[in-house]
Amino acid sequence: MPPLLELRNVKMYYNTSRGVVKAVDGVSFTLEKGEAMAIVGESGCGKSSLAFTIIKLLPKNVAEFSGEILFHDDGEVLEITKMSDDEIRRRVRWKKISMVFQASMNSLNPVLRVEDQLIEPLIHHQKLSREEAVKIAEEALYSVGLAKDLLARYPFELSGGMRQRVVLAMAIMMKPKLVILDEPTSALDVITQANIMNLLKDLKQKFNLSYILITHDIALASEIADKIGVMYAGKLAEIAMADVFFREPRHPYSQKLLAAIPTLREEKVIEHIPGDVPSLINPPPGCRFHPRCPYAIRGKCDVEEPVVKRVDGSNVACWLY
Amino acid sequence: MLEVTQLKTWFPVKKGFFGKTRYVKAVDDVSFTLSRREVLAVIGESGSGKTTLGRTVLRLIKPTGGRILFDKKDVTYMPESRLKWYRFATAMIFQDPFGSLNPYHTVQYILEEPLILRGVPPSERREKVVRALDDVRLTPPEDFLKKYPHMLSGGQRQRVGIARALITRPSLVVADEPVSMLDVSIRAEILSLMRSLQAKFDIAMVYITHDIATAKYLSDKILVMYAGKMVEYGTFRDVIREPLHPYTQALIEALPDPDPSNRFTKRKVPPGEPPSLINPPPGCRFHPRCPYAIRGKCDVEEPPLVEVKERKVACWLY
Repeated sequence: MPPLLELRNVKMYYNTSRGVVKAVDGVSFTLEKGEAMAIVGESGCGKSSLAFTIIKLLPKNVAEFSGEILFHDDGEVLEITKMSDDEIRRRVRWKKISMVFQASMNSLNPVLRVEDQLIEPLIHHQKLSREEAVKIAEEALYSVGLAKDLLARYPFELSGGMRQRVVLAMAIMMKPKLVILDEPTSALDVITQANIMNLLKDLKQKFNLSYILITHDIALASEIADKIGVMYAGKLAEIAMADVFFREPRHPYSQKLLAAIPTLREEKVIEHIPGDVPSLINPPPGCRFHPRCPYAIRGKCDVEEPVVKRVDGSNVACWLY
Repeated sequence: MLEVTQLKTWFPVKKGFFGKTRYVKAVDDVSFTLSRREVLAVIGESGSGKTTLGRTVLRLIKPTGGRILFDKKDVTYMPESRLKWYRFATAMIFQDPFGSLNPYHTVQYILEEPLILRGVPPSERREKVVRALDDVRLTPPEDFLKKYPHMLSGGQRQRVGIARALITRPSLVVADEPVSMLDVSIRAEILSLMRSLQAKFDIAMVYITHDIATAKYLSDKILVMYAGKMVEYGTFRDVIREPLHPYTQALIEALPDPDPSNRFTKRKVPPGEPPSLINPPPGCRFHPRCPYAIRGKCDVEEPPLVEVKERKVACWLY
């Protein structure tokens, strides 16, 4: 069985007045059907850029977009990298891969009722009749635990948690195989966040969905991720199955990230990672983490880029292995 | 040092020109005490009234009822003209390090301003500014004096915010979500910095947050708020080890620790969201979401604050 999604050496650079930002710089991974992968890392590491790149929502000032993004769909291979924007819009986005954007609960159109927001793409893209579209919208709302009389309401009449559910309903409405979630709970309260994570677990099971969850909160990632990808300065430093990752993080950056999380139940001294995420315009030579790494080897880590090695089932880009 | 008794902050809301005035009871009957060197965590979701509580304690908002005693002096209704000493004795650390520093001012001026207000002579000011930067570990301080906020990272800005609050050596500081906008990787550092400075300068601190996990590294006591009411109050350790109020239990249950087995279970949290403060539910404000709500009791009568196991809880179960 081929994986659902395959990324091979994907790069996405964009121009700014200060230079070329290498937001995604040679990322490779595979995602199985029904699997959830979390991409974690500090802000400014290119996590969101990676998410946008996967569904080919590229910035206007894109400088380079290369590599291969393959989506395996029932024996058919969709090469996202080679498809035109129009083709992606017709065949991929929302139908195969959908995305919940960061803070999207606040980007619902305030003058449209929930019904009109939900059915608009169905009528325009799917050429469905209004009745059919409303039926699909009702089903989607039911799946996310909302009553159908919500269709007649405006976004401002809904609480934050309900709006986030509407956005999720939109994302699953056209029965995609993969949903990309970019910080889906960042603006929500803790209890509401837990409710949304519960819902995501339900939906994953019910529709055999795959997720790519973008978050800076590793504790939250552990709520749903089967696999963890640690991103640092545009590259994946480590890819590991969740069970292995939390027990034995290999990359020094992964170790530092885990040590920095405040925990409630566990007694531990939290550490911080010294220094800042480097600029993606002028990343440091060699391993990009070497200026902050306690184990950096002089003459090696600061010169040569580490190659990805397989260590007990995890992929690690570090010269220590 | 600080004694807050049955504090109320209500905001009037008028519906229509001749409409009846109703009140948003943002803070309703909150009491706590805080001694020097102590940190109180005020925990609650958005709209629980925690920020209003913090601002009322500093008298940035006028209270509607209750009493605030600071060093045995009643500051509850003290007019602004006689409140200058209180302003000098207190300070606030804000949530947003991007919005709370004036973009047109240098770090040096941002830190000097509170000193100028207090009439510190120019000759002493620079030295104090340098020492404040050193205290928050922005070193070497000389490198930061001439910088503008946009040249600093989020963590560095928040350090400037802390330095500004502490430069006048206040005895009471209210920190409103000081790390919630920062990356997880630097939260730890800011928290430990706040803890060490708080101990070093003998500061009493009110730490307002929705995140109990960060409060753990800072707090001696905890006050949990729900829809303007305090629901539980006690020492931090005790409350976390054995939360008594169903809402406190839910808050703790909702918070994951990193553990890959989390993905196989669902969190047992109540559905729904906090109520509107204009029209809160009758009886216990948590009853519509509470798994243990007693019909005919919790939805009718407001639970009093009772003392259980050396702490205070407002719940009919106790």
